This record gives sequence, structure tokens and C-alpha cells, in this order.
Amino acid sequence: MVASAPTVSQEPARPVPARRRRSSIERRRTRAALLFLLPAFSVLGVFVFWPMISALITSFTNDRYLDTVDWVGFANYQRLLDDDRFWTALENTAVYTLVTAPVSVLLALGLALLLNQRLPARGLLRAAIFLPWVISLGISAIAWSALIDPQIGMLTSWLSSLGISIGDGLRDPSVAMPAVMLVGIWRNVGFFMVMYLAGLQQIPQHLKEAALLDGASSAQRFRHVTWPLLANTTMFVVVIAAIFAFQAFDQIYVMTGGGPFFQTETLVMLIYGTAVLDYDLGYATAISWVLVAIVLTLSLAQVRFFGKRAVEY
Amino acid sequence: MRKKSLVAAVMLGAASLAACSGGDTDDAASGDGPVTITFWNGFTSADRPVLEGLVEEFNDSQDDYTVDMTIIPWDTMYQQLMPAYQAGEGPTLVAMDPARLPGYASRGVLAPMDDLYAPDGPLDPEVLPRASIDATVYEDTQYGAPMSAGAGMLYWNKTLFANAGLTEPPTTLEEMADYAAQITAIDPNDETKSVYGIALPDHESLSPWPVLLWAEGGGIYDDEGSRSLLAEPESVETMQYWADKIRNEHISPVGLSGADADALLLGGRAAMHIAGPWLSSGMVEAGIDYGVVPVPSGSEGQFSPAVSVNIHLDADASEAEKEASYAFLEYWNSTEVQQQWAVGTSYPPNRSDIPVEDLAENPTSVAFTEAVNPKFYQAGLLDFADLERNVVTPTFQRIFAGEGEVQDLLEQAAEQIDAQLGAS
Amino acid sequence: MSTLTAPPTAASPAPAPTAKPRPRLSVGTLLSLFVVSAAAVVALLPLVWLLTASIRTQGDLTGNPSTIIPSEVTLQNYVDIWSMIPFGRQFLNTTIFALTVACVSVVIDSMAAYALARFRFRGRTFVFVALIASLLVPIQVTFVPVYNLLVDLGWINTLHGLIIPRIADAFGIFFLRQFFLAMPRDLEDAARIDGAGEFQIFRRIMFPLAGPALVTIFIFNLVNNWNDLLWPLMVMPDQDTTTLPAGLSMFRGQYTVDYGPLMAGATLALIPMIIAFIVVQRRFIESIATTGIK
Repeated sequence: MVASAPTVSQEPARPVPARRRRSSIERRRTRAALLFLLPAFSVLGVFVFWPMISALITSFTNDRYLDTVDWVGFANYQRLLDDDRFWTALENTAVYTLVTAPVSVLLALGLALLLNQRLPARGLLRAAIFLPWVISLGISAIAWSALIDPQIGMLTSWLSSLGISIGDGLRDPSVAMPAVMLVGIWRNVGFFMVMYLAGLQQIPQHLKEAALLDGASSAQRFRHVTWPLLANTTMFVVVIAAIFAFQAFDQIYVMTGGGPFFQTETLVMLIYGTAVLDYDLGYATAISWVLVAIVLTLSLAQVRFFGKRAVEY
Repeated sequence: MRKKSLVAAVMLGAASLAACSGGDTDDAASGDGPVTITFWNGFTSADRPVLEGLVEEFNDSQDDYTVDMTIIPWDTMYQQLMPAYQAGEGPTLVAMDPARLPGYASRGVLAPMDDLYAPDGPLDPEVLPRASIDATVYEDTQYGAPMSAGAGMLYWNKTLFANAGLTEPPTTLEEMADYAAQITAIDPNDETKSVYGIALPDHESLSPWPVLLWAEGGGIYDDEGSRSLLAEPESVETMQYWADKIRNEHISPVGLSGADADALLLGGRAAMHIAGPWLSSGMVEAGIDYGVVPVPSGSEGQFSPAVSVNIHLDADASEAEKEASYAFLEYWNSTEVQQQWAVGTSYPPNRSDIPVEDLAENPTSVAFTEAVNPKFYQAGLLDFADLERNVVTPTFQRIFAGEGEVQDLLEQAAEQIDAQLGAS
Repeated sequence: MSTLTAPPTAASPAPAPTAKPRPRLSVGTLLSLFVVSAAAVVALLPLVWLLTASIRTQGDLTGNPSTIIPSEVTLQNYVDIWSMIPFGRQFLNTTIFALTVACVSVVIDSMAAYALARFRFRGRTFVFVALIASLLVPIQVTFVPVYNLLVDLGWINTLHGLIIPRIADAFGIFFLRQFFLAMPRDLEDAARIDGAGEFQIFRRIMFPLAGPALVTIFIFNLVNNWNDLLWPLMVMPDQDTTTLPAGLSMFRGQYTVDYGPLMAGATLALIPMIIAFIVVQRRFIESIATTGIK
């Protein structure tokens, strides 16, 4: 199908051996391939794929940890359609992803370009920017909450001396969402920056020099040499950024719990709350499967995307 | 080199797997040693060391039973408890709010404890708080024993009152609102220097809202838990009143959790707050000159938010574990322990036969015995936690954030609650 | 998307061919330095606050919130943390958990990645799509079924219950697959002609060659599992068997947050990660670079 295109296209053409030999080699290699896949895919199978199927079955029941569990057909899915809370969560997830992914990627690219030059204390600066990724997000989110607490926060007080007010802070829906997004960006930028630094190191020196010799300005060099050659990195980083954004949980859980009145509740938060706090397993799994459907659609789109990404130097 | 360390690490992992799969056996603990029971609760604040001391004393006082206690914040505990019981890994004893009981009792994870109060049982219902005993009955079955019982009262900061020219605490809710408005001093340039008249939390707290509504003849649910009272005219009027005070006179910050409200009081940034005894030792430590009075009365009566935590038994507990549990519950509700608990934490003692003189060491504990008309906020409602989290809290937050008309929001909430109560 | 364009054709005549020696600190460099330093300050601010909060008293912290400098320094929090939670035990659990997962997943992930990158077999497309899907599906989706499965297996509150479901991860497989795709085939073909079996080829040639990429995945998994909150919270309700992030979350009570001990614990938990990062820091960027990622 679509998906086989990229890998096939990247494999160098091989000499075609005699037919009979090939089929025996192929059988041998297929067996080897399956053996290589076995450990990883048995774990994924038992702890990811099977639970997904199991969740699908639960989504057609009214399981609430009570004694009786009844088959309810599509009732949970129908309930979704009229549930404002679900639509809010879907919208929040979309907004969170569409803001944090591009912003953190662009910031990461900018910082990587700056830190790819010769600068004093370059290593230290790189490490400093990467550090937020190394610490537990649950804990740094507590630190952030304390920093921007409207009544006793250090940052609040610093900002107000600059004439900037954050109002009710995390308790204000118009501040809460940007705040959890900022913390998400704060954490991931360093990681993406490292990816970009790696990408920048791969750009062959002779290309840069050639451009320099041609008298290209730094903006031109970026546009015509660096940026196109970073296409693979950008693709990878964007995909990872989207995944991270889609799965954002820890800092929302700690900082707002999805509130105030669900204004920062993402799909992942909604699923967690419905299952773990309300024990409404049937409904939680139905929301989960809607999320899975979205994710599968996106991943198929991505596989298509990867198919087009044969950029070589 | 890397390969070697990799191999070593894998072996370390394998060894640890072997070690821990062999290490589970101790909870069977039959034979000679003492019976160990586990006990979860959420007494994370100043009451923690007192509780730990009393449990240790129990363990040292005899050789037959050991209580292995885990203190986890309440909200985390409630998230872990049901899964743990489903997994057969739940605690032998667990302390919880009576409002949570139906959710667990209906799922069959807690053991009936009717024999606890039987004539030959370990506890004497005559001296224990009636309200707690009643609140631990679900569908005519007794499910728990009192751990602590009391009621929220109004803390007031005498210094902040004096700064506003006030000397006495409020006796009516109207006064409470007026005083709060007088004390409130918003610093437009630096929010971290503003002072609020009162801290009224709306989530993860001992909720002041049921009490404020009851006092004016309204409420959140009717007493049978069969329908919502939020759309009743008294409720709407009361919420409208407080919404005006909060939105226009800024007497309280919005969206506070219980912890936020406590922090404001402890930091001298809010002058009043309705809270339980757990806050008192922190107030002393923070050097705040404070008083504690009953929650003021409204036009239709005076109420206090009842605070009660009760201890429940795992449905899967063995006979030996049950015996150990009952021994601990008897110890916990003994005169000496209750006196120490009251003096140490400011909770009133569970037992009615402890004379007030014995509590003289801690005047706050005495004060907390004077709460007026304590009333539980919806004990016995199966979907309490669910409704509180999904309907009541967000509705109040919307009201105070000005997201819609008070009347509309309350009507929607009542409709949602009635639908869910009717369905289950 | 646009494909790679050839190096730009110069619009202007070529300047002097010798690259002029750059001044030590030009205006541009200073500007870059300023921007990057500002970013570093923002990145470090919460961490510095965390560090100073760990040596302050709760009263000092809530009483003088607008300063980052302690009015008095106390190490009491670092003493208290050991008695308030089973810190040593949890530290050990975290180490065993994160290290085992990181080590085993490197082996298992690279095997699967190698197969996906280098073998053609029936169903490969399907396997690849499934892989991408599991890369995208958040843990909350499978939370309840996985929990029930662990209950049925009797794995709740056990270290193997914590570890085994984590030892294969889609990100690692996906990342390493990209790496193997970019590797030249010559070595492998030569070995095959010499009669080496597929497994030998992998073990003797591919696995060692993948070193830098494996380091990246190792660190990635080490950090992620070391810091994971939800998974240990779910699998390990027992304080004695849980890991540090779950144990530390206990300080965030309903009525108060005990900042001091929490931040002391967080600081101690951070140290091994910083050491791990310093050890591999140099190689980290290079290793990602060699993966050809991408």
C-alpha cells in the first residue's frame, strides 16, 4: 500500500539472483525478520494492541465497576455527539497542538541556528536550554504553578513591577491555557533544539562554503542551503512535536487539572478523568476510540508524508 | 565497555525481577508473627505527626497486630483506591469522607461492619458521634467507624480586622460579606500585595457553598439526594448575591482550591476563611493573631459544614485482619487516644464522655466543639464525587468568572444533576 | 514540499575568495549571545527556584514570595525527605526501573527496527502502520485495560509489572529504523557472502555500528522512565514499591503543598539525570547527527 513506498524507494537496487535461490533466501530472511520483530511486538501486542481491542469492546458496554455490565451498542458514541465537554476537549486538544507544535519547533530552530555559531560558553548555554527536558514535568509544573501564583508568586510580583498583570493566573481561563502551553513549550524546545543541532552538523561543509563564496547573505544561505537541507530534521521534529502535544498531560494535570470549568481539558485529560475518577469505563473507552481513530487517520497521513521525503544530499 | 555495562544492567534488572517476585510472600504472614494490616488515609497536614505517633503507640502497646500506615493526599488516594481494590491490592483499612462511601460500598469493595456496634462489639455507639455513625450506613448496612468528626468554622484574622477598624467577628452572613468588603484592599499595581476580606474556595476544599445556601433556605441537593435545589429561587438569589460581592467588590479571589485559600489565610492575605481544625496549628506557626467562630447565620438558619472521616474495612480482609482492624478501631476510639488526638490536632474528640477540661491544653479544640448545627454535604449520594467534579464545581466557577447568567447556569446544572440522579 | 534545490546561483559577482578573519566578538555575536542567554535564563528560572526552595523554610517561602534568595539557609528539608517518604527505597526502585527499561529496550527496539529497515517481508506495511499508531496513542487510552491485565497477571505492586510493559517502545523502534535505513549495505552483504547468519550479522555488525543511535534511545528512555508519573502511580499504589516522581507527588496535599521537602527530593532525583546527561552530552548531539535523522 501507500506505506511501502518510502522504504522501498530508499533501498538501493539489488542484483536479481536466480529465481529459486531468491525464494529460499527470502523465506530464510522473512523468518529472520519475524524473529527480530518478535520480542518487541509481543510486548507491544500484549500491552498496547490487545488493550486497545479490549477498550474497543468495553466502549460498547456500560461498565462502571458495578456488578452488572450490559451491552449498550453505540450508546456511548451517541452520547459523545451531544456532549459539550467532549467537543470542548477536542477543541482544546487541537488548539494546544496547533500552537505548541509550531511555536516550539520554530523556537528550537532559531536557538539551534544561534547556538551552531561559535559563541562563548556555547556548551553551557546548550545544556541550560536542554535541561528542562531532563527534569520531571510533574515537578517542574509544580514549580511553575508556584512561580505564577497570582497572590504569592515570584514571577507574578516581578511582572507586576514591570506593569504586567496576570490577573487570576491559572484560575482565569484566558490565562490558564496559555500557561500550560508555555510550560509545554518550555520543556520541549531544548529537545527539539538538540535535534536541529544534529541536523545542522550534517550539512556538508562544502555546501556552506560554496554559498559563502558565491557571496550569499546569511539570510540567503539559510533560505537556499540550510533550510532545504534541514527538511528531514524539520519533518521529524514536527511529527514528534505533534505527538508530544497530542499526549500532553502531566503539566495540565498538575497545574489546572483541566479547569477552570474544563477550559484546559484535553481529550487525554477527559479520558483519564472519566475512567479513573468517575469509573465511567464504557464512556471513557468510547472517547479513547474516537481519539484512536483521529490518531490513525493522522498516522496514515504521515506515512504518506514520509513517502515524499526522500531528500538526499 | 558499553556492552559490558549493558549486560550488567540487564542482569541487574533480571535479578531485581527475581528478587521482587520472590518478595511478595510476606503479606500472607501466617504463623507466629503479628498480623499486619495496612491503613491508608490522607492526613497530610499538621495532624500527620499526631496520627503517626498514635499509630506507633498502638504498634508498641501489644504484640499481636501491626498497623502499616500510608498517608497520601486525599485526591491521589481516591484515584488509587478503586483500582487498588479491583486489583486485590487495596488497604485493609481506609479512611474516607462519608460522601465517598456509596461509590465504594455499592461496588462491593468494603466489608459490612454491623457487628462493630453490637452489644458485645468493640465500640459503644452511645458515646460516639451519631452523625458519623449514621453517615457510614449505606443501604441499611453499617460500613465504618468514626476516625475524626467535627465541623468547619470561620477563622478570622484579628489584625486585618483591626486595620479596617473592626473588632468583632461577623454574626450574620450579611455582616460577613460587608466586613469582607471593608477589609478588601486591592493593590492595582501589585496583585501580590492585595488583601482580601475572605477566601471562598470552589474546588478541592471543604466547600463553603452548601452552608451559605442552606442558611438562606436553598441548597445543592435536597436531603433525600433525589433532586437538585440549585434552580430554586432561594439558591439563585443567594448565588447571585455572592457572585456580585465577588465580581464587583472582589471580596475573594476566584477559582481558589482549599490549599490556595489556606495559603492566603496563612500568609495574612485573606481575613476570613471557613475551614476545619487542620488549619489551626499552621496559623499559630505563622504567628497570626486569629479567632475561630461558628459560621454566621443567614436568614433561614445557621449551619456548619460537617467534617467527618471514617474508617472502612476491605471486603477481602481475612478473619485475622478483621480482628486486628477491630482492635485498632477500639484503640482509636478509646478515651486516652481521643483526648490526645483532640489536643494534638484541634479536632473535637469523637467521644462525648471526654470533659472539656481535659482539652484545656488546646483552646482551639474546645472552640471546635462549639460549631453550630453541623450538617453533612450530601452523604449517601452514589454519584457525589462525579457530580461534584463534573457539574457543581464548574458551575460555580462559571458563575464567579461571569461566564453566563447565574440563573441560567444554575438551571442547567440542576437539569444535569436531576437527569443523572434519575438515571442511576 | 519542495525538494532540495541546488546551491544558490550567485546573483552578485563573487567577493574576495579568502574568508576574512572574524573579529572575536562582533555585534552579531553579541546579539546572538544576548538572545541565547535570555532563553537560558527562562529555561533555568524554575530550576533555580526549585533549588533555592529546597533550602528554604515553608514560612520563608510563602512569607517572602517575591525573592528567590533565601532569608536563611536550612538543610532540614534534605533530612526530612528521608523520613517522610521511603526515599532511599524509592530512589533504588526508580534506578532499577529506568535503567532496566533503558537497557532492555535498546536491544529489543534495535532488533525490531533492523527488521523493519532491512528486510522485506509480507505484512511489513501493516506492522509499520501499527507501529506508528502505537507511537501516537497516548497511554491514557489503554490505561484501564492495561491495568486490568496487570491485575489478572498479579503484577500490580511488582517491579516486573512496572518494567515489562515498558521494555519495547514505538519511538525507539521508529527512531532506530531511520538510522538503519541510512546505513550502507556493504558490510552486511560482505558478511552474508562470508556465510554469516542473520542474527550474527545483527549482533556482530549492525548492533555495534548503531552505537551512537542506541545511546540516544538509551538516554531518551532513561529520562522518560525516570521522570514518569502516571505509570508508577497506576502500577505501584504502594509507597514502598513506587518510584520517585510518584512518591514526591505525595507532597502536593489537598490543603498544603510542602514545597521544601518536595523540592529537596526533586533536586536529589535530578542529580543522576544531570550526570547521565553530562556523560553523554558531547556524544548526544553527534549521535543524533549520525543517525541521519532526520
